[in-house]
Amino acid sequence: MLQPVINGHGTGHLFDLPDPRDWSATASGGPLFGAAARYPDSWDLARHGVAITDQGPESSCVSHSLAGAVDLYAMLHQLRIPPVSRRAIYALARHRHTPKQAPKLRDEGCYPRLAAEALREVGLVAYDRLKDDFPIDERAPWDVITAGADAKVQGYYKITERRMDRCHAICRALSKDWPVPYGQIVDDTYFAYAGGVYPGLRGPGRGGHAQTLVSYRTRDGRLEFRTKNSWSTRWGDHGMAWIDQDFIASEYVSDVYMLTLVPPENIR
Amino acid sequence: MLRPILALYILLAPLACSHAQPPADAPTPESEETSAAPRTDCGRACLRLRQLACPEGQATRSGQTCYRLCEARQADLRPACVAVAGDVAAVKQCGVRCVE
Repeated sequence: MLQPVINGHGTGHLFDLPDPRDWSATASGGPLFGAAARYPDSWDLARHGVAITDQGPESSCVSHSLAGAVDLYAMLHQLRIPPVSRRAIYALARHRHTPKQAPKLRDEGCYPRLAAEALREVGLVAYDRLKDDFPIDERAPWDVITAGADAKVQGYYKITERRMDRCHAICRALSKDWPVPYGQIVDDTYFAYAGGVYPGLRGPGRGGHAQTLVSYRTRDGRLEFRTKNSWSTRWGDHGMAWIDQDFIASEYVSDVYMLTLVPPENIR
Repeated sequence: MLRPILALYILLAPLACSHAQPPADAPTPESEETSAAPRTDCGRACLRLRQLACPEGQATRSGQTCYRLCEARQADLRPACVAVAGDVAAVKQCGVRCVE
C-alpha cells in the first residue's frame, strides 16, 4: 500500500505486529532495568545540536528515525561510530518483508522491528558506503552486506509501558542520553505544525510516521516531549516539534524503541 | 564353502572401518566452498561470481570466504539469482555491483 505524501512530506512507518518475544526495556536485562524511577524535570539531547534530515516524498521515515537515534547516541556517548547509512537500513528492513524473487524493492515503508533486526544481524553500514543517492528501489548490494559491520546494534528493546507509565519510561531513557525512536499516527494538523505544542490528533489519521524523541520538559505539571522529524528544517520548529504528554501516552503512539550499540572497536 | 568368505570378511572389516574415518585435516573454508559448489545456491553463486571476475566472489580481507558470508546472510542476498546469471549485467540485477 502506498504511504501518503502531504505537502511533499512522506511517512512510511508500518506498525509492528504484536510479538510477545519483544524484549522490554524495563524488564530484567533491559537498558532501563533498575534505572532510578525519578528523573530531572527536563532533559535535552539536542543540547549539542542535531542533524535534521529530509526524506522528501519517500516512505523511508523508519530509517531516518533509527539512523538519527544511532548518530545522536554515538555523539553523546562519544562512540567512534561513523554516520549511519539510511539507505542501507531502509533496504535491509524491506529485504525482510519482500519476496526473494522480486527484483526490486517497493518504496512503501517498513517495519521498525525488521529494521532493528537487520541492524543486529548485518550491522550498521556507514553513510559513506551507501549514500542517499543510491536508488531507493534497489536491494542493498552484496558487497555492502558482506563487507563487515562498521558498528552493530547489540539489542533492540521496546518501551512496552502504556499511558503515563510510557511517558515516565521515556523520560528515564532520555535522561540517560538515550534517543527514543518511535512511531505515531499523523494527521493534517501535524503536517501543518509550525510551532507550539502539538496536542494530538484533530482529524483523520494519514498513516504511521517514525521519528525520534530527543527532549522533554515539565510545564505546569505536564510533560512535553520534543521529537526530531525528517521533514527538513523548513517544517515545524526548525525540523522538530513539541508534543503533549497525552498524545505520547495515547494508543496513537507505539513501537517505542531503545537500541543498544556495539562500537566498532569491540567488533571482531 | 562359506567359512573362507566369513574369515575374509572378519579380516577386512576393521580395514573398512578405518577407511570410513573422516580425514585428519579439518576442511578449509575454500574446500568447503568448492565441495558445496554444485549443491547449494551459495556455492554455485560464489563460483559464478568468480567466473565473472566479480570481487564479491573472493574472500574478504579478514579471511571470510564468499561461501561463508553468503550462508550467513541468506536473508539479504539472492544467491539463487546470482547462480544462474549469464553475464555481469545479469548478476547486477541480483544486487551485485561487481566493481573493485
